[in-house]
Amino acid sequence: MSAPVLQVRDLQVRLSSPRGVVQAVRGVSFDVEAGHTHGIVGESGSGKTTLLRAILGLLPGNATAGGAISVSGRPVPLAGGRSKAVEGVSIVFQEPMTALNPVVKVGRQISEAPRHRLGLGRRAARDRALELMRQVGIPDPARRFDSYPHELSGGLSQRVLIAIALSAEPKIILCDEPTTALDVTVQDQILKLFSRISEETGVAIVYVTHDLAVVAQTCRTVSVMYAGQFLESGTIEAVFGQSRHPYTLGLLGAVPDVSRGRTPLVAIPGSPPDLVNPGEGCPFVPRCSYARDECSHGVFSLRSVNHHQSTACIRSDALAGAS
Amino acid sequence: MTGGPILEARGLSKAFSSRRSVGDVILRRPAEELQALQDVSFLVGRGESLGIVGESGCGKSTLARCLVGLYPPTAGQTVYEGKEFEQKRSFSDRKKIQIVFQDPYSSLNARMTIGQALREVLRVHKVVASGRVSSRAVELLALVGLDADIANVYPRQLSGGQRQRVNIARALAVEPEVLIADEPVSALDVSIQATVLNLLASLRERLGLTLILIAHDLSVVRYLCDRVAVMYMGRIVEIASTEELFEDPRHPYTQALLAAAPSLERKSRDDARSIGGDPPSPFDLPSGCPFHPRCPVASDHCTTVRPPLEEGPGDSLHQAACHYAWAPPAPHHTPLTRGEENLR
Repeated sequence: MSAPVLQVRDLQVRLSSPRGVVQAVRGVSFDVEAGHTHGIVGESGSGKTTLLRAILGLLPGNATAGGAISVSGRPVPLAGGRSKAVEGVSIVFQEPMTALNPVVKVGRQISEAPRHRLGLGRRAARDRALELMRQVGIPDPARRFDSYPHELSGGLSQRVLIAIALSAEPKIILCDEPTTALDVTVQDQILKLFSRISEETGVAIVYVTHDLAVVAQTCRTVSVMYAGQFLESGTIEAVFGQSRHPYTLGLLGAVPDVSRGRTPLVAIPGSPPDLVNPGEGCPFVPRCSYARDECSHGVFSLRSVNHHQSTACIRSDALAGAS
Repeated sequence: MTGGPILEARGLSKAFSSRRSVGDVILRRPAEELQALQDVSFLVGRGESLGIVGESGCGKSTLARCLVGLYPPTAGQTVYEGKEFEQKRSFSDRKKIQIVFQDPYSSLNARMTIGQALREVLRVHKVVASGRVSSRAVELLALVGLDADIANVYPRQLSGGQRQRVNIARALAVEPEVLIADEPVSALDVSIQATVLNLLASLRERLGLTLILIAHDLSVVRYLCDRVAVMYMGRIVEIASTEELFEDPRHPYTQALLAAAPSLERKSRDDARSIGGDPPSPFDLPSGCPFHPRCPVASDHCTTVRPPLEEGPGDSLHQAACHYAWAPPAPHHTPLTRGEENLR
């Protein structure tokens, strides 16, 4: 076990809005070690993107944050401002087409960080960019160097974004639904590329998505996020194989799978809570079939049930063997 | 196929012209043609559910729009119960096939309450007597599992799943026999998708609807459909019963799609069947088989001769458009070598 490159401790983020204060992230803690890929699954509005922005030190102006984040031991300033810690973090966004500058050649966009952050000369930065393009599997890098983003397909643009993410020699790459906008065959190629990169460079990857199957195939560990909290965390095999939280179980039963025939799908009733006033107790109570009176009071945080997983459910014993 | 055929696509083709810039007009450059749909034919049985899958740009939404009559096809016909639709469909013909669109947020008028939206359809199409319009609207909401008081709210007050139910209710208002659902759940959250999929399944059973489901997600199609057609670059490359297609895919593209689909249950990936490269530009389709530049088994023959959609030897319902779908390549067969290996 090496020391974690990313440590998040009891992170709280509140965003002020015209409707009141939105409690977007409510006490999230986790570690990611070098070379590991950690998945975070959650539905829209569960706080995944706000969590990523906090790790990047890019919380919006209306946010107030508590808790601590550190990258390679250096604290990330939650109130904004420059820090060496944030320089070790890169991000790959969902929409490759909108994340690239349309009027700048892709080669220049890739060599920007090597030139300005790593201080390489023009020639050296170009060589570095070409090498990165080769590393992410862009065919004929010398020709593509002078392409504009609109000349590239979705899959190639996503490879360019990954090259940019790698260009500043990061310790951590954050991925915010990086393949949701791509076709399945291209998604498959990009997922394999991520596994190869983490093996070759030892970079840690935090992979955020709503797609359970994608997480199952790319990550070693996973956290299930709901209403700004982690409800369950652990290895893929444990969380998806022997889940100890009703929400995870609900999700697993609600999504069709290509390898499964017509096992009936069971929808989770109700909808996620409003985070302006989430109330006390477990956030999943109104939709949970295992809920008891004691679930509506107190604070629910992750506690470990075995070596491989931890859950926020106090009735997890009742769930053992349910999946 | 259950029941007799209800709907048939007969050689449907649709081409779009690219927009010409002022420069193109001055230089008299012709508009480029994009073949979105090429010679697509299939039968749908009454009460059947047919899935149409493919990646973006393969023509599946164009196909849906041609079937509903939103696009006039450049060639071919839509045949309904043995009769061709006229080029401009009659008022009563239009009711027979209805469509539910992908994005539940943009397909409802933001300034009409749900009740108004439903009542408008019922009045315009004179589905029920004018005195019964309001009560029918409430019945429709009940049909899709929504409360009567939803009729008084505006779309923005509803969740994505509720809106998609309203869209389904509105499509069903004119009592169609065929419902086309174009990516009905891809804009919805995972925990909500199941409710809409289950609703479609139960409506099909209760109303005897014929369902055509367009999706990029193989798992959705596997869950809901009796038969599946796979499209690539405007053509059907394989069509078979769901069981057959998932258990014994014959076209290398179908095999690649299945290998690429992430799954919770399949741990090891089938790398032998996954493919590199991107789909080609629809403005500049490859010669011969459109899949040959990405195909792991393509031979020289494939670069020149486009394989027709052919039935398998034992099974007339399983068709594939590949030279090697039913007969494996000859022993001396050498796969094409190409410079795209680094894309893997």
